Amino acid sequence: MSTISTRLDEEVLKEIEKLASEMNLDRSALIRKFILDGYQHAVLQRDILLVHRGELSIEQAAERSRLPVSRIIEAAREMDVEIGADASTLEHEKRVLEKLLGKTKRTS
Amino acid sequence: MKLKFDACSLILSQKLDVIPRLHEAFGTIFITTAVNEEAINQKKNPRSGKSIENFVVQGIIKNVIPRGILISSLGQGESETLAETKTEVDNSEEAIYVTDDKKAKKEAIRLGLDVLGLDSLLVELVLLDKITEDEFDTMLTALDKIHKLDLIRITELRRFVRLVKNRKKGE
Repeated sequence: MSTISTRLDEEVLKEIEKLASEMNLDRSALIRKFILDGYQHAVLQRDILLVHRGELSIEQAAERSRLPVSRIIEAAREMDVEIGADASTLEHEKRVLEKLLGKTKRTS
Repeated sequence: MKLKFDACSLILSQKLDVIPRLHEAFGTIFITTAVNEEAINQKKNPRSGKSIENFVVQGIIKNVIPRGILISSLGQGESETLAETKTEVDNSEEAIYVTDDKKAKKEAIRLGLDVLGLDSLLVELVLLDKITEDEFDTMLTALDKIHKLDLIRITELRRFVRLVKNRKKGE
């Protein structure tokens, strides 16, 4: 593991120390947890935007972040980001719907 | 016509509580091993996992071992579902890949497969008179709360429902 240094306001540091004490952690362990949690959150947000742009699929985002697909769906909704299909595939889907309609009618 | 669902569409269907209606209209819902693991793995998603597992036990959802060549540019479940759908079509069977993923949908169309999203399947339920237009609107609103929908797409789907319904009235 490497060591990094950073600057924090005294007040924030006091709050972190208080929280660390309540959580039975030392200050460094808690700050490390904050950094890791923040990193994972940032990666998830970045990947959700990639899904939105169609550069990554939902399951790829789930695999990369090691989260379930349902969590990716929830996170995208929390971010108010649309990760589903847009209107560009609609003409294709309308043709499939008409085809399916004909077949389902014939079999029912 | 076999419907092959990937994990996203299956999870959304479960959350929307529409799986029994889809089964009633289209028959067995097919999923692959990876989709099964994703949707049913109770450690990952206890509530929806149990419900989907019940549908598997009841035969509403059938888990199949995927065939065909996997596509590396998608996730495991999407890739398996796409390969399985393509294998069915290559064997002269009729199958539709159901996905609500933008990238997977485009990949399936590029491979010449028929593809639908859950929202477009709901359109089919209205057109088959399995749900009313009011139920359709309620379901779309509920779906949008779970999985933000594209406004242009939804407007177009609603317009398509009215168009086909009017055409049916005129027949």
